[in-house]
Amino acid sequence: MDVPPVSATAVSHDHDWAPLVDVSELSIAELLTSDDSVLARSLQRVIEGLDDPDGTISAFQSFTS
Amino acid sequence: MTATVSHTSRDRRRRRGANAEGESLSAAEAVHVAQRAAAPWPYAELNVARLRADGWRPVAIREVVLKVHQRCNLACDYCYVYTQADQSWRQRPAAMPDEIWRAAVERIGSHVRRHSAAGIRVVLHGGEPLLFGTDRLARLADELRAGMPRGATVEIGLQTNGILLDAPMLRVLCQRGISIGVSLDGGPAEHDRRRTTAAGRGSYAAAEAALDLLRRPEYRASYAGILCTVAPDTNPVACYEHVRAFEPPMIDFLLPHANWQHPPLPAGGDATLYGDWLVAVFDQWYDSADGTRIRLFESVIDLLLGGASRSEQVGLSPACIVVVESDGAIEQVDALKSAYQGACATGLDIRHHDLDAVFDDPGIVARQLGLGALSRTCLQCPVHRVCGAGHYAHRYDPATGFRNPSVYCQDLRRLIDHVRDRVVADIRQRTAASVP
Repeated sequence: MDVPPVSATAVSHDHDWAPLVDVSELSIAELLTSDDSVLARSLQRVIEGLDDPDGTISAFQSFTS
Repeated sequence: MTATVSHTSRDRRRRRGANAEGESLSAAEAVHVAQRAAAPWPYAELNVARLRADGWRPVAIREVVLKVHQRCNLACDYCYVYTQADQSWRQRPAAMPDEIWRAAVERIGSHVRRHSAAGIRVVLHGGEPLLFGTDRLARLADELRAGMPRGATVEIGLQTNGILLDAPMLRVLCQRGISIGVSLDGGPAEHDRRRTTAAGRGSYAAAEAALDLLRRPEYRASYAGILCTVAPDTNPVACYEHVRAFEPPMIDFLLPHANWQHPPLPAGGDATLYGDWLVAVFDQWYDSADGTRIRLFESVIDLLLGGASRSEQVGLSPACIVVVESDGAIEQVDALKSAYQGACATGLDIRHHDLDAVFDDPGIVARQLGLGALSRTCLQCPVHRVCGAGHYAHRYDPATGFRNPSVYCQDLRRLIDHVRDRVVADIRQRTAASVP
């Protein structure tokens, strides 16, 4: 099947696109205790998710919780 | 007694078809033949026995969707149950008979016990699940909890259009610990344009009343959130702000179901119409940082940070969901009804089959394979671990099946690139600020 290429804007990013964002310079402990930003809450969820050996399983799209 | 025997034999005849040679097929065999023809991947090409021999093991079911009522008191123009390829609802009982939901309760408890799971989630769904009635919903919830093995929990949720949700019903649902999600597509004009009764009357006022009830302190614990289907010709920020005003614990923005045979509307629209809409909402949400949760956006960020997705729309997490239809059929996620007639079918029946039987179905297995389910095109894309080829239903092409990029490929790339840019910029700013 012919699949259309992703947008030109996206393709121009490909050379520097890494699958993970680098947080090595970030003081995560400080962020988690002093902040309620989207980023802090995301990091908290990722850390909590480490306890789940199967990863976080997809939730049914037609129900929200 | 005579009626029962007659019904059983008629049912048996209906459940048998014939192949091209005129040989009689069981219902399950007929399903497999039809699936192989409609979707070569995975049904003709994925060898489940080989996967198992190579060491692959399924992940236990974590979410069971019970289609307790097959009909709806609305006629939304985009509904995948009634307006798209699969019309199987016409052949099923309107309300799930006691025999079916009790069989489901027993199978769910057995599954949790066998897999020593900490718990499971059950979603009461339809059609419109509140048509099932307060008393039956309460009995079902009571028996579900009673059927759990000691120490295991069952989280029960219900997704409604809100029309029938009044205080007496809500009181009962709250007492049973049932969490409730409501569907709302923005403000009155946007919502009433799509979500109408069969006679064309809008349903915004009813949804608004239901949400106002759920926000009351006495019911707040049962308020799960709001589902909102993206309409790219609406104002994204206005839509988000309208939904957010109802103070939902969680918002989910859903892309309307589409595939390569039936692409998203409007045909010939801008390449990233849906992606642009989501980006506008993302910026409003990210900048306001008011604690509102949006599952799709959270999942994209979590994936970028090395975590896993909680959304079917992105990521490579195994989908551990099955649906039980009102006639007892065990099926795949119902969004596949948008692909072709019978796309959800497994040929299994909750009265006769254990839930573990789904792990022999190529369709169920395909959704637990992560990278193994992606097309070559996707694997060559640097974003594939975050995107995960999008929602499985959106990958369908009649020529090949489900091993394709999402028909929303460009929209997902637009969103993911933008989210990544914002998160990277945020981290850089924080890192620079912390340097003495």
